[in-house]
Amino acid sequence: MSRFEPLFESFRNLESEPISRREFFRKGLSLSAAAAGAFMLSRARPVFAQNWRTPSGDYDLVALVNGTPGGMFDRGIAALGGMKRFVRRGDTVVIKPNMSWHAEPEQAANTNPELVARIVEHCLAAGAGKVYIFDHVLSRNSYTVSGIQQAAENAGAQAVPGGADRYYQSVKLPKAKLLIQTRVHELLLEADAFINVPVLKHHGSTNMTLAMKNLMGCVWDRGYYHRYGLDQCIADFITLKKPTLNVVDAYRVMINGGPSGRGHAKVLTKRMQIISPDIVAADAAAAAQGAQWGVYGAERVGYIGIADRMGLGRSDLENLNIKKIML
Amino acid sequence: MAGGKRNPAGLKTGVPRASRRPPAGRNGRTPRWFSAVHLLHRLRIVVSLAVLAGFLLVLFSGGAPSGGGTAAGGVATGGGEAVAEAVERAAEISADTAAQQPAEISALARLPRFLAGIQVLPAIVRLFSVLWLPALAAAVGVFALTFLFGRIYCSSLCPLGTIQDIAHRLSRRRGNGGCAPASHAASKRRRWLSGRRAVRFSVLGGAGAAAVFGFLLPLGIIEPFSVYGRLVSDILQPLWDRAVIFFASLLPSVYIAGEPAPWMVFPVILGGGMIGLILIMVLRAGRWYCNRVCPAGSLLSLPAGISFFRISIDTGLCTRCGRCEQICKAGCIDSQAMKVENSECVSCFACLSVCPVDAVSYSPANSKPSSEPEPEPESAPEGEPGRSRQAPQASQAPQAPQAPQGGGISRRRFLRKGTAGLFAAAGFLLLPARSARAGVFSFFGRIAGTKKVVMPPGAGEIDRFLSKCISCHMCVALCPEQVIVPNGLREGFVLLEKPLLDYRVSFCEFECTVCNQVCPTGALAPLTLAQKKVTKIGTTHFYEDLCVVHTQGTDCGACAEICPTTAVYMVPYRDGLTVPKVTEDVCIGCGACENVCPVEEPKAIRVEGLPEHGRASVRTSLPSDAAGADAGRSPELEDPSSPSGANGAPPAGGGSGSAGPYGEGGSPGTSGSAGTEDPFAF
Repeated sequence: MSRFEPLFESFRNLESEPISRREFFRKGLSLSAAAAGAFMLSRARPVFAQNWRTPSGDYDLVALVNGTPGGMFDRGIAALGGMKRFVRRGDTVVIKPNMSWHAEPEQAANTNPELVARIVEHCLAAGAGKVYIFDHVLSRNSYTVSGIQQAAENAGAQAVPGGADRYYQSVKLPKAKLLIQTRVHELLLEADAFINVPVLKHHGSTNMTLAMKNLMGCVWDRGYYHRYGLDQCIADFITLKKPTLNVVDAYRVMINGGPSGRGHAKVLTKRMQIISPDIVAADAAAAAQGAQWGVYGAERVGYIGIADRMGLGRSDLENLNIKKIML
Repeated sequence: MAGGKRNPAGLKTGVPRASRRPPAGRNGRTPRWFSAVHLLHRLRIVVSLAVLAGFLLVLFSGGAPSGGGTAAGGVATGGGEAVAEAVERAAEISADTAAQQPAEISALARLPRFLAGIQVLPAIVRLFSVLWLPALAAAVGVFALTFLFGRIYCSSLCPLGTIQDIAHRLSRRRGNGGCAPASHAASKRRRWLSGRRAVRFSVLGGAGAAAVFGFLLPLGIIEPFSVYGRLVSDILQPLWDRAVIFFASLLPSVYIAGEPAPWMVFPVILGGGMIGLILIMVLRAGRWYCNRVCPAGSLLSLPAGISFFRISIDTGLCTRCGRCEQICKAGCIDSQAMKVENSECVSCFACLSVCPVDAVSYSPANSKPSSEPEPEPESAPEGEPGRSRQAPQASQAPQAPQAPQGGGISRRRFLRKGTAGLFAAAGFLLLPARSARAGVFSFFGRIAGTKKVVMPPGAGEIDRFLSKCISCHMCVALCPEQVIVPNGLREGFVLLEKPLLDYRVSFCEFECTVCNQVCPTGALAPLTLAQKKVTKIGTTHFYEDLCVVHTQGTDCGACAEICPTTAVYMVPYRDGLTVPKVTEDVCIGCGACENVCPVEEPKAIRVEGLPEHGRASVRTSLPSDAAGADAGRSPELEDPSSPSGANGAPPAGGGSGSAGPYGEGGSPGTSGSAGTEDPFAF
């Protein structure tokens, strides 16, 4: 019920206390001044049309295997030219791991916390002014149970709650086919750089959860996706803005029973990581990898093909400049 | 009554009754600010405010995520053994299960939970047909406290009492004197005194008898803790949340988790109306509610009337200035007769510090060695101990030091009354046997049972729930998912203000037992997490013709994805689509599927509440007809040695060792598995 109440609700409540007339005017004036200030502050955010920084470099994609989550990222980001290419001094960086599920790291329903922490460290080392992590969670305790909040905060990030209606701002997606309008978390409006850190796992509805699917956790009304077509909406969201960097965590892989993995999921330790500034390429590579492990192939992950056809990225892996690193 | 005639002012001629100011420096105790009575008064105020502040910690702990580290191990390993131990019927959990509660209730909520646990009527309700030792200790403790020191409970432990005191205090600041002027009040009061005993005990008797026979609604409406609880969770909490969110929104980089508590129309009206009436009466007549309506106050007035420590007026010192009477919130002092009605005294000690001549004292009833027991016993009529005691004394020489100070009662009387009280208490608890309750008012349960409402886990069955829940809304205030909402009148009078689950708002988190832990009356039994996870509070029905898979021809699966028990799973449908299917005896009715279902109301998957909660079975493997049951059925290794470190350090130093991720033999599904060829699929 209250989910849909506007922020202004709070004024009315404050005024409803019994106060004298003079006090009423004084309070009312100061409140409206504060409100006007807040309104202007909220309006002063960057316009959404700008893109996040997406530099191009030597490699389109780096794939790593046999390392620790943090160690693989160290090597991978070095191969891409270092985090300084993606994050400038003073940038506001938003990291979007998958931490929607009430599951511990071993269950592989959420992104590996060590990886998230290492990315935070790299961002701060590159001079980021502020690093946030958030997700629109499906379970209240998942920030803490996943271990990501603790790890990221220790590394210097701020965890921002994603489960509150009021932090989601309406945006239009003119190039989209289905998802023509939605509400995204306001952190995305503030961010100079946006790092997408999904976990590769099986998904009951889209066959695989990958980088594009992970961005579904940036919007408020996930039901819209389910109502009108998951694959198209997932691809449509990329028309808004493409992430600066995509880091697909395949250290532990849930190969069935996803996305929650409750009860009877099988989790394998694959120790792999795929890093790419191109979200479609990252997904295509991850889906191919998933197919090899017996999850599902790229041809069965609908949103990759759609995004490719919409020209949102490249899924022709054979033509990409890929760096493979075995540790 | 004899009291009316028994106060000939002429008898007091020896006393300078007209002098409002005491002789300065009497007994050499001019600086009253350091006197014991004054400190007692201050201490009482500080304690009561501290208790209220402790209660209000609820506001801080509502939507905040509780600490991590809740036990989730059962999920990872298939859940079977985690719930293998036998689960009693939800209604009949015994005290020993409390020890295994997970530490998931937030630290800030622990103090309010403790304070709610020592509220006397909730504790007594909790003892209906269940022996719950903490509640027994609380009830016995409060009675013992009252026997010893008077109604300390009313002055300091009851949050509603403190709220009334604050209103009283604020109104005095504004200068209207709080209550009616003394002279006025005195004459009025004499008319009241007998009458209000009748009011008090008929209210207590009516509500109490109904409660004993399973109809808790009247008691729940007037019970002080529930009145307070509804004020906090239905009015203060929404206000507070919005204020916090508003001020946080002015600060950069400050984010508040969760939604503000919702405004519910009827609960706001009822909660606000009750507190409004009580506060209006505070302005007019002080603790009016506490001595007429409040069933806890009425109950405690019995031991308070014969309490050991008590307020009394030294007739030898009293100047009848009337200050004590004027400041008395409870209206229990008759300054002209120099008497205190101790059963109605709420032990606020204001009279002690206001008396200019130290005539008012708080002391053991039999402390004065000279207080002979013989003047009283034979002349004591039933009831009114304070009055009858005064009769002989007032006609004696007023200065007599051996006057019993309005306090002394004989040992025989004390024992007689005390024993009667004990028997009454025992009978009160023994009477409400389960069968008796279910018989007398079970038609309410039958009406409520037809509504298909979803009761919170631990409610057991609807008869039990109706006979135990006082609608204090502690669960509403503390439910982290805010799925428990006060019902108001939506589901009819029988469920008035009962907390129910509304899956349009949210859903019941699988890994959570907060409501079970905070319920002060045990209406929501203190389930362990393992018990709660198999407590079936409702049944899910799927309506295929409403589902988007049917109407839109798209893949959805939101319900199956979020289902914590895999009761909802996807089965093959036409055109390669999948459609949900429900296994009813695995479903616990948490409402996650209904909440996330993307269909506009009415949703394609809905939960129907069970009037009697059941026990769900636990699924250990995917059903054979599930779509994608073959997914991931690659002949991959089982990987039994999942990494030990919480942050995923590989087991054998960086993974470069023998057990490479792809290297283990016998994985024909993986191309190039045998060696270190190419783990990459692209």
